[in-house]
Amino acid sequence: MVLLVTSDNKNFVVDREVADRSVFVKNTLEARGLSIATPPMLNGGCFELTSPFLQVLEYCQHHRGEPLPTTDDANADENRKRTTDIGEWDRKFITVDHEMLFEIILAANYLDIKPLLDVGCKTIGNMVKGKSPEEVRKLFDIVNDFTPEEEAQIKKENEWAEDP
Amino acid sequence: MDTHTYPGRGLSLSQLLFALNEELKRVTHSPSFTLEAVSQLDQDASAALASIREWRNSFTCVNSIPIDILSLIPTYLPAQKDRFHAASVCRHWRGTLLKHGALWSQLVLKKGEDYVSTLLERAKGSMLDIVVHGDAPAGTIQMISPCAHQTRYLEFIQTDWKDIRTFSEFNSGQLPLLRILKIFSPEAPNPCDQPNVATPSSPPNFRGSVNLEQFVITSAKLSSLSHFVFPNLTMFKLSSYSTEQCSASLLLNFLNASPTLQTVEVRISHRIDLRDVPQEMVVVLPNVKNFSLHSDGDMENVYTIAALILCPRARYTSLPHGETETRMNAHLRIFPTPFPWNAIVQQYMASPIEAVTVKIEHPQDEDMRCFLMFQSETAVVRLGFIVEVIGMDEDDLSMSHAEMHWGIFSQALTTIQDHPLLSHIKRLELEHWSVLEAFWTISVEDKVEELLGSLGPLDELTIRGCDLRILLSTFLDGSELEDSERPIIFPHIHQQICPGQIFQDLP
Repeated sequence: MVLLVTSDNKNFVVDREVADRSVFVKNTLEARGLSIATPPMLNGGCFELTSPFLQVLEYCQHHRGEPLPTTDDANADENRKRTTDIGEWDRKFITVDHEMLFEIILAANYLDIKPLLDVGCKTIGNMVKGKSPEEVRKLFDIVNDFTPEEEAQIKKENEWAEDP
Repeated sequence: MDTHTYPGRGLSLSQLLFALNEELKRVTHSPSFTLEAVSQLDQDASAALASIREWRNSFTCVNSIPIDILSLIPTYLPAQKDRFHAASVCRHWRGTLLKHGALWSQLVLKKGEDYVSTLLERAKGSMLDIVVHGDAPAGTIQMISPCAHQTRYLEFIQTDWKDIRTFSEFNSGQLPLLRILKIFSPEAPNPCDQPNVATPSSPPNFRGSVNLEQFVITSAKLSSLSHFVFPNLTMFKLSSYSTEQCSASLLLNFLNASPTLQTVEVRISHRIDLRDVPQEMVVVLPNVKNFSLHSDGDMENVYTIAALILCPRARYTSLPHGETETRMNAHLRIFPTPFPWNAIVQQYMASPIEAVTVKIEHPQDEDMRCFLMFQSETAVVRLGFIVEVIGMDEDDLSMSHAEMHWGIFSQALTTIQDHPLLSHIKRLELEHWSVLEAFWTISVEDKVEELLGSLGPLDELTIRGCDLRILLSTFLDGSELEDSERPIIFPHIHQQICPGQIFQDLP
């Protein structure tokens, strides 16, 4: 068993197999020879880790024992990125509000859980896919901040985009 | 909001708005009021407003994602259209995405010079995936030249051979990163554009592609192959269609020069001339795991070609042939095939056969297909035929569907029976023999009995789509055997699998 302490001092005891889904935790434990890993504060403490961490733990528990992706297979990485398919369980897991989705992505990135980072990025990719810039803005509460000159260039690019 | 310092200007929002307002008053009350001055003010106001909005966007939830992750997201958007749209959402996204060169590595040359120069600038040193259509402006091909060494993927769509050659000559240097080359030549090429007009001394096309792995070519003539040499190829797909006869030696020579091939898929839809193939010629492809040779028009010669190719390590071999409706009158030459199937099976499967499957499909209003599959511990060999009968009136055919079914059935069973390594067969699967109803007489019984009698003991017999209970009861019941006029020694079967639907119509 491994004790994980979040930046807001919450303790979580998990199986080593679950903890090892995070390359960050795995490497930390192996380097220190300890059974405790304390992720430091992110962004000067503005990131509340406990909430997404619970979600991340759920993901790691579900996927425990599965082979971890290797870093040296460039083709597999390319193929992974080309598909936007998300497994049934992962799809349900990642069906959360935007704020939680982005926090899970941040946590997955920080804890170095590549498959979870993939799921998060694919989910955002699927949200963006097929949408016009205006629809994407509306989706993520973004306003058009381009000047008229920048808009002219963008309009030309979008004509290229429409040309099959 | 006012307490925040506006990024880049060192002004608070209220200071910025106040300054704008003061400037507006100054300009409009100035005796030197001009349209240009107001236009300038308008521009400044637009820029300021854009900056305020940019700042506002920095507070949105999605923009809390670090830049390195934000730039990852478009890699999950395979369509370039979506990438352009993502880069048009806001300044933050645009700035992030435009720095990520790999997002802009897909170049479709027909979109013009502005497009190509913009994307080449963004792609920087990234590997390039280039698509050249027949109507690509000539200037774009020249623009690629300085970056040709970055090309990873190159595809020509409906491009004249003349233009392909021009592209190759323009980019004649080393193409060390090129891994995939695809060529789809026009259906009706100008004879003057054919690659065979190149002089004998012409260098091969794309000769700098020393690391090319995959070559896919769809061409009206096999002769196009003589202008390509890729010594390190691992995958080759050819689809050759023509109304004229083409020389087989072109294909054999190309394969012979590519000993590293692992996958070969060839589909030939025309007559093949074997006259210039040296008698002793045999092409050995020692690394090929998957081999497929599909003929749509010259069944006899395509099997002869298959017999000239050795793939000692092939795990999957597929040799189907097909007939299109324009050749329906030639059905009589389908069965039996002039080149015995067994010679092919034995060539491509030297190890003992463990399982055999015969599958006949002829759904209403669809093509008729038959496949005969031999499986050993390490390899699969699949033979078969496909006849396009869609829209054809059966009365117009020189051979009825039932006769065709019977022909393929007979040949499949004869091929199984004649195989010298049959004694190891453990599994036999027969599917959709219901198409043989017209022949469901003593002939079929004879054939099946002969087949079962020639096999060793089976572990598993699977029958789908037909009722062979009469034969099976004979086979399973010794007393009936004694009464039979045609005594057959049937093998012992451990397991029969007959899906329920087979017996539904029985009394």
